[in-house]
Parts: sequence; C-alpha cells; structure tokens
Amino acid sequence: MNYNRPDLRDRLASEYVLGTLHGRARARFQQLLKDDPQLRASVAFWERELVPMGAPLSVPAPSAKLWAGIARQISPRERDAPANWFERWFNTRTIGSLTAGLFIGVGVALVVPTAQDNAEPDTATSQLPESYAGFLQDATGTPAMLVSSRRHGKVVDIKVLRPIAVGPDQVLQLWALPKGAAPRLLGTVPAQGKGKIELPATSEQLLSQVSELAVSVAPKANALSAQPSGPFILRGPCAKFW
Amino acid sequence: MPAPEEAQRDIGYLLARVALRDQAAFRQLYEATVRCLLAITVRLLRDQSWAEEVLQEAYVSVWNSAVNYSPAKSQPMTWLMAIARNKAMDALRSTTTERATMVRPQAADDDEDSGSPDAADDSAGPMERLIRSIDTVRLRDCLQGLEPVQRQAIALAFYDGLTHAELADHMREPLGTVKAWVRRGLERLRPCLQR
Repeated sequence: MNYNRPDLRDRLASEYVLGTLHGRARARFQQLLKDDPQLRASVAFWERELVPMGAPLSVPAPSAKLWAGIARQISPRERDAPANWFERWFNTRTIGSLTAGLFIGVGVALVVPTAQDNAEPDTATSQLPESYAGFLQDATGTPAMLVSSRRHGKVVDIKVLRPIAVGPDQVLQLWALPKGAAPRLLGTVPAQGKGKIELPATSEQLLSQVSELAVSVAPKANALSAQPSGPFILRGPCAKFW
Repeated sequence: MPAPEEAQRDIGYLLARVALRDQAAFRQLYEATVRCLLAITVRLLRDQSWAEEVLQEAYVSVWNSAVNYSPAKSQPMTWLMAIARNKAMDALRSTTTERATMVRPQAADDDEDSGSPDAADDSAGPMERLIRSIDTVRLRDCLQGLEPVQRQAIALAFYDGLTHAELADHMREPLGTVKAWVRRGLERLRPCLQR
C-alpha cells in the first residue's frame, strides 16, 4: 500500500471508520494517525458523516455493574488530583485546551435554555443570536481579543481587550485556521478598541470548519497577504454559539 | 415540548462540565447516553457483557478526554458514538474471540427501510428525543445514490461489524466482489457527503 497517495489515504480512512480495516492493518493505521494531521482530518470527516448513521432503533438497559466499573476507574484518579480547584484547572492542560474548556463552559452556559423560555420552534432559545465567537489569548495566556459574527452574517466584530504593540508601519491580520488546511486571512484588526471586518461570504460559509483564530503582525504593504508574515501573536478557539 | 436539537445541546453542556471534572454531570451524561451507546456496541459485539466491558473503557475515555472535545469539531453525540464504536472495533479486530452468529441476517435491510428519525412523537422519552436529534438526512439521501448491493455491504459492515470475509460469506459472493462494493460505495459517498 502506497501511503503517499491522498486518494488511497482517504480510502483507508473511510474503511477505518466503517470498520472493514482489521487486524494488523487497523493497528498500522492507528499508528499512522498519531503523526499525520491530514489523515486525522480524513478520519474526522468520515466519523462526522458516518457515525450518526449508528443511532439505534431500540435501546437495551445496562446492568448495574457497568456504572460501578466506570466509577471505580474514575474515583481513585480524582483523589490523586490536586485538591485545589485552581491548581486542577491549570495543572496538566495546555493553554489551548484550557481556553477551550473555559470557552465551552461560558458559551454553553449562555445557550442552555431555562425552564421559563417560551421559544418558538424556529428561533434560537439562547439569549444571543446564532453566532460564531472567538476568544484569543497571547503567549502568556492573557486574554487579548474577542471576535464574533452572526452565523449567517458577513460582519465580524472585534473587541481588543488589552492594547497590542504594533509599529507605525505595521498592521494586525486576523486568520481563520481551518483543520488540516492553510490559514485563511479574514482581514485586518485594530490594535486597541473595537473594529469590524467585512467578510467576502457569510460566517457559516467561512468558519464552519474553523476551530481556531489567530492574529499575526505584518508590514502595511503586506496587509492582504495570503500567508502570515510572522508568527501568531494571539491565538484561540473559534466556537459556535448555538 | 423541547425540540430534538436541545437534547444534543444538553449533552454538550454536560460534556463541558465533565471537562471540568464534574462527577455529577458525568453521571448524568452516562444516564442520558448509555442506552444509545450500548445498543451500538451490543449490535457490533453481539454480547451484552462484552459490550458493557467495552463501554466501561469508552466512558472512562470520555471522562479523560472531554477536555479535548470541541463543539466546533463535532456534534456531542457523534463524538460519543465514535468513541464507543472505536473501542468496540478495537475489541473486535484485535481479539480472536468468536462473536455469536448474527441472529437477524436481514438486520441491515431493516435499518435502511426503517422510519426516519425525525417523525414527530410527542410521547417520546428523552432517549428517543436524543436519538432523533442525530442528523442523518444527508447521509440517508447519499446512501440512496448507491447500488443496492453497495448499500447493503456498507450497512452490514457498519452496523454489524462484518469483515470483508464475513461479508463475502453472508452475501454469498466472492471476496473481491464485496471488497469492490464497499470501496466503490464509499468512493461514491464522498462527493455526495461533501456537497
């Protein structure tokens, strides 16, 4: 099997998710997955599309042993974990997943409907319209920028949380980072205060596959470059608020 | 009556709490989803105690990796179902344990013809609402675009976890034929699903 051909790799990914890859071939494929983001993206595609088909028609009841076994495996670790909530929060997680966890917690807290909500079937039950939202931090983990746009809108709102150092001949570029693909320029953003970006298409069209946003610095002459001119100085998750 | 999509949103909320090591939320997540995941693994492994062993590993994996779940990447139920499926497939594909023979050989066809999950039913409980919230409309449309033998081979592989050799046996066709049905079926699905 020539693993370098993209069509063959996608076929392998589809058979892996379907379940027809077995024995040593399955084990080999799982090894490949570890170091190959493109292959992981293929698997993610097939999982997203095929796995929902598994929704069952009739559902059996589990025995009491099942939960007992799970609880046993979880509790000892819980005792070993740092007791302090703050330490547990910052202990073994990267800033990225920490932000995602915080963001999910904040985001879903806004969209879980209360018992009193009388939402009509076709309007969102959250307090906010359906939106994409990004929460970007700098390398020290300090929150630096909020980004949001309505799901089917074309305007991105920017709010700078703490002023960003930018030279007189430089601009800040906002990038969408789609999984397994090159960064895509959304536009330029201010170094302080608020701003707006007009998108060439709706947020849904541009951001539905994007899990992260990032900001880099570029010379003014390169303001609309296709690739970042330097490293990302801010970075954070992009999530759906609905 | 809450809409089906809210069932998934609730699961998403619980997953976010599990990422923060909230054991009470994890218990609720388990109660809300275990029957769905058990149905999938029992179907694949054909034995409830084996399925429960595998699900134990799956839920512990959910507990440990909820922090990596991102709503941008997948629907909550898809993420959970994928973990359960992967654990079941790992178990199936790496042991020499024989599965019990299939009880209902026509099971795969039943799934194709079964009622659409979005039929309205006000009396349905939370589990049924959760299952109905799983969106398969486009997939079902795309499956209709396959040859019936391709669709059947894919369904048998997916729902019942048949290997190529078992497919050949069950469909009474040469190994090469069923491999080609699966491969071409998947090749045809890709462009349709990407639309």
